[in-house]
Amino acid sequence: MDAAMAEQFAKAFKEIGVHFQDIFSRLFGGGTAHLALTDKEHILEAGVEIYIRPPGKKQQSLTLLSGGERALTVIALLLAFLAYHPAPFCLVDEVDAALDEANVERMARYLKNYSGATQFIVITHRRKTMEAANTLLGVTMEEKGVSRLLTVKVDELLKEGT
Amino acid sequence: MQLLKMELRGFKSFADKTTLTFDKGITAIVGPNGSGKSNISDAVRWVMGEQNVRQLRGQKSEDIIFAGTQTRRPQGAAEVSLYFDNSDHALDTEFTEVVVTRRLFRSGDSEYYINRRPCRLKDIHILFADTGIGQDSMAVIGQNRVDRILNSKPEERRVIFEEVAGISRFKGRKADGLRKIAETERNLERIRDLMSVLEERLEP
Repeated sequence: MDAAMAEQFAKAFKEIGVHFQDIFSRLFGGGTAHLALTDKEHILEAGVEIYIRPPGKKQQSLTLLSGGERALTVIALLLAFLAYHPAPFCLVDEVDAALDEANVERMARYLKNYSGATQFIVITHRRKTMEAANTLLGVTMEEKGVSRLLTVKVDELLKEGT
Repeated sequence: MQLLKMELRGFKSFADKTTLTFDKGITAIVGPNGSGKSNISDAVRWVMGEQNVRQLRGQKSEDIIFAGTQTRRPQGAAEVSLYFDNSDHALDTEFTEVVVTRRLFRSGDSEYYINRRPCRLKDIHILFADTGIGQDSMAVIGQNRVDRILNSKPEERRVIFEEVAGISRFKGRKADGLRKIAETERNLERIRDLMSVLEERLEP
């Protein structure tokens, strides 16, 4: 069973790594990224190291990244996971808060591309992300301390508009 | 498999029964700060079995239950249900719709249900293992999660990869198997002890 597990893990790890590189450079508009195991001899115990180089910069330790770069790196990793094995749904809570306009737009475009295989539920304040959504759920607090919900179907509204 | 809807009742700021329906594609949850948006993501993690209240931005488990306001009385229990379309049978059950529910009472008692029948948390974990929405999955990403993934040690990070690679189910089975072996060995040892004691008595 260990051998089968190691083989499956190694295969998955390799594929995720390829997706990660590809998605990272597309989200960042350049740069490189790769994943490595800390101990190649012991696949079942090895840790996972992330090496990234944003465009125009030299390879950096993860702790030195800016807030926006960190968020975008995790989004790239998340999309790499989904590319390998689509999850039924994925909920992201304001990960776009730290991104600049151009990055938000690239991210929203990517989510839209992947939304065929995976449902995305995004909690957001960013306009560009809302524009990519099919449905908007508004949470309000008209009565103090009590949340209420409003639903707006963007797709249907657009259809009515045309 | 697809998430169809989510029902909250008495969970954090959602005092009344609130139903969120999800379509294919992207659903954006919007609203002013402090209106309770992030409580929705907390609710998803809670149903899937999150045990650490701090991860849900609370101090004690009671903080999950609607605490009342100046004009409203507190609720006695919090309840969240997730409805999944399982017509493709991605989940290993004959039901075409699967409802997972968790309920918590002020007494601290927590209950789990699959399709309205009581179950253990472990049953929920087994049902969702390797679907990508299990416990350590990337299915729910919050702001603190971003930092946790990047700051965590390489060894901690691998758990997420195992879940995605689909080997966490094997790992669980292996752990169960090893536990059984250890148990059997303990039993054998006890029998050997008993036998040697009995043999000593037989000798004279």
